[in-house]
Amino acid sequence: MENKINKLTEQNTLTVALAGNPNCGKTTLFNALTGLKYKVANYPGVTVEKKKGKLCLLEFNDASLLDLPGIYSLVGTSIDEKIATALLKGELKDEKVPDCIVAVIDSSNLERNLYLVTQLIDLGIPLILALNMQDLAQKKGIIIQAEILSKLLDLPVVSIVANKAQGLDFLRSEISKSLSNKKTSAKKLAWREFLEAKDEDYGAEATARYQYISDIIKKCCVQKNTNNNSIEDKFDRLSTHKIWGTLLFISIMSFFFQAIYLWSEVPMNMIDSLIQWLSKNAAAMLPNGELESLIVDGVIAGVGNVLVFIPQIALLFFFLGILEDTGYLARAAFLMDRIMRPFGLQGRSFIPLLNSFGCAIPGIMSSRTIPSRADRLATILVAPLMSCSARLPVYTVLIAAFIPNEHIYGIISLPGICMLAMYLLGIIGAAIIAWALKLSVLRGKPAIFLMELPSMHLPSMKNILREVLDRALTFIQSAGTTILACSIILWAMASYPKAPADYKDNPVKYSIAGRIGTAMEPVIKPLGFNWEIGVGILASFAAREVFISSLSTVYNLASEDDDNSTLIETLKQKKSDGSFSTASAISLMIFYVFACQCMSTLAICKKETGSWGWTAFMFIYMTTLAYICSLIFYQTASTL
Amino acid sequence: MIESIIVILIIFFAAVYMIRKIRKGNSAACSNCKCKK
Repeated sequence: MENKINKLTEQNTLTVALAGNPNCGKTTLFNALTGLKYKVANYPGVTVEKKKGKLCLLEFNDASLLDLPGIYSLVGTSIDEKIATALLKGELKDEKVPDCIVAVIDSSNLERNLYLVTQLIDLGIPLILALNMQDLAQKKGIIIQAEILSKLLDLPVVSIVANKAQGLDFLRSEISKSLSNKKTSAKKLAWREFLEAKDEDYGAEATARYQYISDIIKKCCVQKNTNNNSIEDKFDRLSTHKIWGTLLFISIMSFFFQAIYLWSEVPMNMIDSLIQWLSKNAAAMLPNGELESLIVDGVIAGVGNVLVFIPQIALLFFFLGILEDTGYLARAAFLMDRIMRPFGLQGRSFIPLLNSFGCAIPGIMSSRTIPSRADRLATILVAPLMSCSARLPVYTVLIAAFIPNEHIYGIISLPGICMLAMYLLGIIGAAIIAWALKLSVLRGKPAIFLMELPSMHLPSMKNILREVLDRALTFIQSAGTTILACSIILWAMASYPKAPADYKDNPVKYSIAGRIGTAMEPVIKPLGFNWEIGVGILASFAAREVFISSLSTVYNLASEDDDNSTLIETLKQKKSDGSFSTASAISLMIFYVFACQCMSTLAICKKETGSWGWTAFMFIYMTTLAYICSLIFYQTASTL
Repeated sequence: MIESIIVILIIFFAAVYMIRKIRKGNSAACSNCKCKK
């Protein structure tokens, strides 16, 4: 009953939809009008599903605003485009036709943006034109006379700069007017007459529409100067060049990984010292016993050792943010198309794959922009091979403990190189798997890659820092919930049943976790892993970072003294006494590069592919690949 | 005795939390994903 009432209320709510070409600033406008903080970036295809928010208008309290994925026309080919076109045409079951559409226009590219507008006029829904990125258009010498455009199209036209919140009050008042008078453009009829004189096929229609748009632009638009050799044009040529572009891309990525490793060292040490202090004080304050062990060896060791990685996570997203916001990412996608094509993938796959360096889940979701099902499936299946930020703590701990902190030629740090190697290994693995998939189960040539290069501009530090803060807070939230719960459960599993007094081996081995680890040992021993690592691998299926917390807990419980040394120190000790070799550590990193140790990734794979078969395939192939690669490495390294 | 009860309660709540997460279907709650927003 309550659901029915909610549905009825929703049906009666006034809805305003934001429609427009990809990367014209719809989500930026949506965030500015609703106060929400959805992800924005300077490349097409960031929004892949519809989003709803409350629109604050003086006259209408209960209006809602819809942000739709970008479309070039009302003929959608990819999944994200189909969502937008179906909603605008009223073909979505759960959504009514919007009461008003705000067509967001990239003013620096009026002609192409108006193509969609002519189609939106035909829908017969009240329409408002929001001329966004006016500042950018003016920089390019484009002046649009909004009043003339408004008269020509018989539509309200508002000039805005969404990222600077300029013109939003006027837009709000125009939305209110449109919702009240429900006026549609009279050009709809005139347009029909215009078309009837021509053939009604799609090609002729597109030509006729562009002819119509061209006439409009001549009357309302002034182009002052056209400099075809601007700095941006020169950079475009360099960044998309076969050799120079590739070299630039490699240099940028190498710098980022070096910086992530080096710049995070000081803040990481500070957090580490804080956790050490906390651990010592907790141990001193609490009486010796189960509760003290749970807090010190379980909670602080588990959660604290993961929290140490906040600076690295923040730096990773800071650099990704710079790449996204400047517009370089789209250029890299164009460059990658050439490289990825022999492996059966196309440039459109690059952005989902690059997103997966943050987390595979948004990466897999952004594959919705790929129209070809075979290409999309191949991208989904290889996306988790990109080293996500959850793998970062695992790599960092193992590199810090086992790889000497030396510099090659005094500049390039060996740990940084090792970190980059792990990321490259994932990329190479993904290329090979994609190639194998496209040769076998997902046959078919990759579709032609067409992508609009967004304008290059200085990154918005406000946007990037907001994204970094958001990611850091999400990481802390995860540490305080999932990782905390996992650490407590793991502490219990590693503590009970208690070993008898005459038990001479490691007391943790007697516990449930120890017994599970010992049972796993024959399978994982050929990879160079012992039972303690087995426990970590099993626990980290909940989230990869749990590996760090579980290993900390297991080692802390096993240590007889109360020195509360960090995991890195413990691992260094194990390296020196020979119980954990460098070969085992590298083998473990290789295992984490390829293994599908993430339940959420499997859940999103099922959702996006709609098939348990592909989900099972992903899990099986990734686990097998991880096992085989680690096995080959460890066995080869052991014989050398 | 009280200490044991506290420890058991903490473990119980942690287990309940994880079971609820798993039943929700987004168990692992990938630390960096904002897909649920």
